[in-house]
Amino acid sequence: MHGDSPGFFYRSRVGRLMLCALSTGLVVVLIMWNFPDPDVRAGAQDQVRPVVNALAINQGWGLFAPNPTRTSARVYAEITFSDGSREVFDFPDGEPFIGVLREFRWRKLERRLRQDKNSALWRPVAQWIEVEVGRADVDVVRVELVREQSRLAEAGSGKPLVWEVERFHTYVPAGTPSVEPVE
Amino acid sequence: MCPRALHRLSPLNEHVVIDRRRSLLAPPRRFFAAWGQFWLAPMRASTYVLMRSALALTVIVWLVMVLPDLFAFYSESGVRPNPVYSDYRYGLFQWFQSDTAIVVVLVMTLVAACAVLSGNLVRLFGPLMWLGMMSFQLDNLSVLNAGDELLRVWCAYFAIFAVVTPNSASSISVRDLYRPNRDEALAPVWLLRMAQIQITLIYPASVIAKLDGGTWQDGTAALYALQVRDFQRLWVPESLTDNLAVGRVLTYLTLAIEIAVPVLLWIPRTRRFAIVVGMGMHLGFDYAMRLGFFVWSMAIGYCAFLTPREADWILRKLPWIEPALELEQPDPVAPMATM
Repeated sequence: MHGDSPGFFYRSRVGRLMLCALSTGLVVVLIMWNFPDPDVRAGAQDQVRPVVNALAINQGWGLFAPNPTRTSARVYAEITFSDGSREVFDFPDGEPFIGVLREFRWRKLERRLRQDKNSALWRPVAQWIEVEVGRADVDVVRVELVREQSRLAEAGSGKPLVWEVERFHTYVPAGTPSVEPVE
Repeated sequence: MCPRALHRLSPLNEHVVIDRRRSLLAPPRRFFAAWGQFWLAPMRASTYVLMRSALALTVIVWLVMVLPDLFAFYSESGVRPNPVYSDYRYGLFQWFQSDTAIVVVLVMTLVAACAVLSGNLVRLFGPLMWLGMMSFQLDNLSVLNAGDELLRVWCAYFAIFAVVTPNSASSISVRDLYRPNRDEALAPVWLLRMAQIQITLIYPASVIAKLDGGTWQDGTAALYALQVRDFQRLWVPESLTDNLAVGRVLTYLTLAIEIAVPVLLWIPRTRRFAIVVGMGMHLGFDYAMRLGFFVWSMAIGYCAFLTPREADWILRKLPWIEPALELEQPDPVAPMATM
């Protein structure tokens, strides 16, 4: 190392021993966290979770595993205003070069949002949409989250996607009068 | 005293005992010495500087790309439900939840990443960069993917490295590497080793997780992955995404690469080939699918497998390096003037 002292961890015997022990410990933690057998892994992860959580080195490498998803999905919102008008809200989209580094997060959110197990997300998302689409002259009286899903056809069959549309969450802001949407 | 005299003065059995102890302790000693060398040996700092720069640059781009959605993702009025921090998980937004705090942490992380990029006070700013990234990522898990996770893991390793390594080594800048009349710039190899091991663990974990999948076994997994609408990025001909033969080739090639690369990366003769094949696969994925920062994060890890000479070659290609170095070349007239 240039110039100054190499520092406690590289100069002294104790420091070097500590650093080697830390390195060994980290490697053991990583191996336990990523252990191949799922049953052993679950137990091992419990043992090392404090270290992994504290360092925020949680990781999972089951990408497209055990199978890639077989569902194409889109989530959007239908907004009803107090004057009876309606509007469709789409989450931010972007161009596929630079913008994709922003919008992949929204696609990730959409994917999680459509799943019933993530219902805790639905209300905060609907409330956020209410603020996003808010207008000065009219109130938002209803936000409906809609999922559009299509199971992929068998690989190589060439069949087109068949979309199913479902309103899966309705949010009515507190204190707003009930208004039937204009069809 | 010569060894022969020692032999004569010492009882024979004691001499034998000493030798046996030595022979018993020699392999573990050699192992520990090699283990220490593996983690702590100093190396020309080019590879470290390249990896550090790639990490800091990725963090900067990550933060810039989150900027338009900063309050949507992290404010209390945003899309997240009240974040739940599991045991031993920490983030600044656990304690500071105002919009002002979000902006302050963003600025802090950006400043830290810029300092790390330029090689200034890395011992201080490395841990701050990790703290900032951890705070953002753990506060809203619903918008993260594996690329974000890996970036956070690199930040954690880098923070540990920055804490244990003196500033003189961790803060070496690109200019320091090529400054004339300077001792060779060396840095401990610790960070590179952690990155190498992490990259090596990712692939087997990924392959094992896929082995039970029917689509990976029958060779159709790649076709399904390419057909998911919300993943699609750039144009891929339909004749490819719906062709079973192509699907089998892509699926089994992916598995083969993921099995082979972590081994080939450690063999000197195949290392370059493994880097090209591994990065080629990730760039291919990134072309076809919206994977965010995954290819960026993998590239940071692959930097750790470059030799200093290869890292030098890349660093010298940076457009702002050569002009800066030319300015710093010693004036050939000056020594003559002192004569």
